[in-house]
Amino acid sequence: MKLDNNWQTQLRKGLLDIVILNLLRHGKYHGYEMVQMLKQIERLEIREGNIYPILARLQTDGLVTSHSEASRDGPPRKYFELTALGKESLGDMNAHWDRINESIQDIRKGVYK
Amino acid sequence: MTSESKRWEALKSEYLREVEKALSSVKHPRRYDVLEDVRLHLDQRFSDLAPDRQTPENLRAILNEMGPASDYAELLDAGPAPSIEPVSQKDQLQIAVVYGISFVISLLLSFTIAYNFHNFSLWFLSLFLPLLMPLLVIKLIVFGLFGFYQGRSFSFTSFLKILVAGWISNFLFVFIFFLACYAAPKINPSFEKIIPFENFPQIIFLLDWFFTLVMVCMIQAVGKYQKNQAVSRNNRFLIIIAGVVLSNIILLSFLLPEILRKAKTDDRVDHSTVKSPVSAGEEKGRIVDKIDYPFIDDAQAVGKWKSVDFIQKIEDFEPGVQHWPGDLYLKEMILFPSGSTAGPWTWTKGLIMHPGDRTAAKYNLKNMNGSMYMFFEWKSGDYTIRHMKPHYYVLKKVSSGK
Repeated sequence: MKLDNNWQTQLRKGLLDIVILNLLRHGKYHGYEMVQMLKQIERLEIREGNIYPILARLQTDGLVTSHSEASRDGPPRKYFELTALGKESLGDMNAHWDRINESIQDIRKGVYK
Repeated sequence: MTSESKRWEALKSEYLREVEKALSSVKHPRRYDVLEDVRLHLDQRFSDLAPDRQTPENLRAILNEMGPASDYAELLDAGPAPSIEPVSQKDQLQIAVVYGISFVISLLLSFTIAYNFHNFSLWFLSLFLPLLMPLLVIKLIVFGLFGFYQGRSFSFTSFLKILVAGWISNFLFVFIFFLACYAAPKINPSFEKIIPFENFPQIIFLLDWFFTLVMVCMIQAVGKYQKNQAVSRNNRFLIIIAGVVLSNIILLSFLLPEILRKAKTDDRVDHSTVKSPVSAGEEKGRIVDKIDYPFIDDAQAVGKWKSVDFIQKIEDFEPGVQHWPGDLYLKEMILFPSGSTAGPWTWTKGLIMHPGDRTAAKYNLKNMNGSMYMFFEWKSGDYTIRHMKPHYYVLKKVSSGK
């Protein structure tokens, strides 16, 4: 089935936010490093450039913060990490995602409660 | 630069131009950060590519893996705009309370400075409190209409808004104030008795505008800081309060030396003696001197006197040295033998009276280096309204005038 393009785009936007935040839950990473890690995850198609506007938006929303660190093999790298608000919000997002997933599973199984 | 590098630079520039063009449709504050991040990412990808693999196909593949330029705008534009984060009614109320506190402090600081750190008991109940409520209501409404309780971040636009909101609220207040002071008694003379602002130091309006500006900027800056630091909502109110307190500590630290100096001066000067011995009392907080003295001639005082200095204490004067840095407001004084003068004053031995201001200023005559000098108490509003010790004009006798 050919999926509606807008639906895919909207779903991807929402998923990328939670994916990136969950990735940052495990430490601080620079953009290039995150892209390499995400590319290794099967079925999670991400275009390399997509990560930067999302990180910018998450920074503006106060969920992620960044700082530059000198690099031995090139220009200074910008590292991203979760803020306290980001950690708090991620907990809510993951819980919400679990509930939605369960609801979809229930619907797929024909359980309507 | 190798031919591969040149080709890569050309491809990269073209891609970045497309991204920039796509991002220009999104008015997001971080769109240039995104562009810079993408540039660094592309540089990293190219440097990871072994020289023998820097083929045109591989270079284009890098750009294809980055995704189309339109994705950047689409992904950056998602979600609520940063400056219009919805604020709950409870949060708005808390922010309004913080603004209210800052407005009270602004007015309090303005009075304190206008009254030169003196006479707290004189102005607090009779002037400060009656003015506080209407001013607070006006400012809270005006700043509310400008959307200051929406928790928006500090920016150049918000700074302009602070300026405008400050001016409007103070203009409204001044308008109402003057209406009450001048128009109301004309409508009904009995109103004059209930409006105690006859000698109100009007610089308070300007000071209050300035302090309001400083306070609101501080609140906005603290708000922006906590937003950047992503402080949890529960702590925001406390941090803003702490910011207001801190800003006041900073302000007071600038003023503290003056307060201490004044406190020391107050220790030395008995306040009862600030009022002249000729003082007859106070009317609505204004010192009024006794001025109906019989004329007693003083041959040494009669004549024309030219102002040469304006000093705090008589002993500060040095002949030939002007301590006062600017122009002298009082240029000269001519005392006629009958007790009249060339100005609005009358005089008798030892005193020069101003019937309009109802002040009686002492004068002392001293012969210094062969010249006669008059030390004339200058009883301006600083004395009558702010109850400060009068300074002295020093006048040099230039002719006997007879």
